Amino acid sequence: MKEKFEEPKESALTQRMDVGTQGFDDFQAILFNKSKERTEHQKRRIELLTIMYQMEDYLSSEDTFEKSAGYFLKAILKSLKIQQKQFAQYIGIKPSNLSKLINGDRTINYELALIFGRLFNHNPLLWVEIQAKNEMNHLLQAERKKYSGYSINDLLKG
Amino acid sequence: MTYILDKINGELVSSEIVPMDKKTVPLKKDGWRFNWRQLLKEGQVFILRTKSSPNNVEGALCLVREYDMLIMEALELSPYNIGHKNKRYDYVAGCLIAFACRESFNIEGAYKGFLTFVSKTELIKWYANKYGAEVALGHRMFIDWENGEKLIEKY
Repeated sequence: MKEKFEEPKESALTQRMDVGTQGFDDFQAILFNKSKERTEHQKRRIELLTIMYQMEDYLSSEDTFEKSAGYFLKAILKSLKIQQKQFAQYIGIKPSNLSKLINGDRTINYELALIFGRLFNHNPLLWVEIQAKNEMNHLLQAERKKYSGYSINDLLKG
Repeated sequence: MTYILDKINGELVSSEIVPMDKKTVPLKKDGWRFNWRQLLKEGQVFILRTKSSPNNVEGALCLVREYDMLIMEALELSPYNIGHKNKRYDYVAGCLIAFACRESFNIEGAYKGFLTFVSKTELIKWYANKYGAEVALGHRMFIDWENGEKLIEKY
């Protein structure tokens, strides 16, 4: 049964942290020890969540600096210390094709997106959407004038 | 995209968490307690606002990194978003705390995934029961990565 608690009655919900005091040092030591208790499975999960959140942030950002889906795949393999050759063999593609994927020279198809989603325990659509975002940006940059020429008013005239 | 709850009509309202700037600094003369002008110089400061009323700050958050650890140095709700019965919007604190938990995953090192903060005495149970926070030492609390993940999914 959850404890009863009061809702805040004031707008300020925290106090300032006492950085530099013995209390703060002791607090950090407690958390440091907690982090040491994390299992390998938990550490992997944390790394995967970190990259998943970075992928989601990339999708929602309007940053012009492009990151390919392969960029994130490389980050995942690196953080989990999985060799690219081993990974390529496991998912049934040539190591050279995996390199092309990572470098953005080859696209991640739906099948691979499903495999990655399953392996890394996140939504496979992330891979598809990142690729789609980048491809759309390429098109826009290459033919901005072409697309800006379209208007619904042209169809609704008269 | 985040959503907060309009307590008047019970509808979810789309909102966003964006960096605070000089134009959006909440002021003490409007009932805010923290000196957000000062906090803007000290750390990364964010505001939560609805998309329909971007000039109204519903909540504010200041994050600092000290010794490789992420600290929620200040969390404050708009004066009209407090009080169980009278507040305008709900979920504001939850959204900001979840956002802060997300940022804790960007820390490298032992403290990755820990969001730390100092609670007020009367809010310790509130943080613990509503957001899965734990007391580590005195009023110093933390939300670990597992509870952080749940909050991120929820909010």
